[in-house]
Amino acid sequence: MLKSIFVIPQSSDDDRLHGTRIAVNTAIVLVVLAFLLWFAFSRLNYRFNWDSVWRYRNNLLSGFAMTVLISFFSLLLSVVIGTVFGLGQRSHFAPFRFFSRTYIEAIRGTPLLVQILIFFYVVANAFGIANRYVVGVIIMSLFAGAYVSEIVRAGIESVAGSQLESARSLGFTRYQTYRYIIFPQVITRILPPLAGQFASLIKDSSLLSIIAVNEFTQSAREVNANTFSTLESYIPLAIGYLLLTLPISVLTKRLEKKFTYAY
Amino acid sequence: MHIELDAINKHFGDHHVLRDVRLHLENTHSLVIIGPSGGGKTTLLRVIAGLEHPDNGSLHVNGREVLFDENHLREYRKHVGMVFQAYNLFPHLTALENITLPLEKVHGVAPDEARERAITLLRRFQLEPHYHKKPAQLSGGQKQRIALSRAIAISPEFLILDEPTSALDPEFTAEVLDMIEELREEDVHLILVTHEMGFAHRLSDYVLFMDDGVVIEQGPPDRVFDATENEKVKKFFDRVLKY
Repeated sequence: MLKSIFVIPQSSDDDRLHGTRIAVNTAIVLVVLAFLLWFAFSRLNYRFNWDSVWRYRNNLLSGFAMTVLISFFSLLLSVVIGTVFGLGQRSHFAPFRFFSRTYIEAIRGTPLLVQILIFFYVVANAFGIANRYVVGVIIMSLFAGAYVSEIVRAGIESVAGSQLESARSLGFTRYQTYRYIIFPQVITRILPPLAGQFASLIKDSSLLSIIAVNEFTQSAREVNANTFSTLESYIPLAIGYLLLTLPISVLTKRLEKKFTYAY
Repeated sequence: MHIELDAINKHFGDHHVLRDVRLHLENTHSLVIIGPSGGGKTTLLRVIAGLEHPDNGSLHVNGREVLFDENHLREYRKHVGMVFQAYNLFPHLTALENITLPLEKVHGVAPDEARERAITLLRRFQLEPHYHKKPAQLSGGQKQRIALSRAIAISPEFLILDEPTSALDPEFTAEVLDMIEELREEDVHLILVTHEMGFAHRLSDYVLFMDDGVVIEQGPPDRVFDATENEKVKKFFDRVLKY
């Protein structure tokens, strides 16, 4: 009994203690975490002053909303970019293929922070894009787009060659093969990694605070600057990000499970 | 069907898979290609199906030359029914949609008519109860029968079958062979690669025996199966018919 609460059985048949195990182990983790936090804070001798931060709650809330908005639009745009360059990597037109690879390697090989600074001070300046929110969405989309390209490419390659063969044998054109055979399968397969990418996007967008985009992290920094209540400003920040990413993480797991059984 | 192959060669890297294959067939209803694995049977079949470009040589089918460029081949393949060893159904589509999609998109058949044609076929081969199932929910035998239905739905000039029962459990082999035989009796023209020797004998009216990229024996089944003089062919039959 005690053993089966702590040891996860190899086969899940006849696992009656599943619910109990989750409850007991979650409780243990929470207790340990609470103790660690309590210990750390008690050593810190920190006097919490939530009132000052409470007055700035609207700043935090609007920052939270801005992060959700920026991440959402960046995700949409990055899926478009990712599809274009994901296909680009398989293009028979050499310049397009090489451009796609260069773009993906350049983005994936450099820190987001550097990309933000270069794009904001050089590229956006040169093209006269003044609105820093637009700039923020473009940067995040270009950044996430490189990762989405790889997701799309892997998705396309996961469709078995034998299916392309049978599409060919039936007389489908290249366009029809992508439209009716490949994409419908790719979309369901890339949903889980795409959801994961969205969670990363939410966290990564915090770096936009360096170009003074008033997103969640920037608003926490401002509250801190005004109140000098550092922990009271950043603890809600951590909780806010968790509130966004945890549901996505759960959703990703669900989607993964669903689509492993579909094939 | 009339098939004329002239001096067809095919290399895969250094491997010479088809060596100067020549063939002249007229009024053949069902051609069966047999021989040891790696002998070039499937490659020859794929050349005839318009899926493989030979290095050189020419192919005439039913009086027309098949040109080995993609646009021409795509047009040609629309009139050839192809069945693969591994079924190759589209996993995201139901059995019915697997049949209607090529009809609608490639052959421009109206959706209602495509559906009707598909249902008629499925009903005829006792597959109607499964029309809404995805391939993953079907047995191997059912999948291959759906694949056969998809291939004949387009009313092809002839049907090409590449070892259609090799991936099946023995219990499902019979239902697929029965269906092929039924089609044969309806005068659907066939080209078949198979390892089922009894079936090949019964079904064919012309047999090719391929070994090492060359047709080493050909003729009506009685001659190839029972009266061959070729030592290699005899040895092959001794081996495969031993058990």
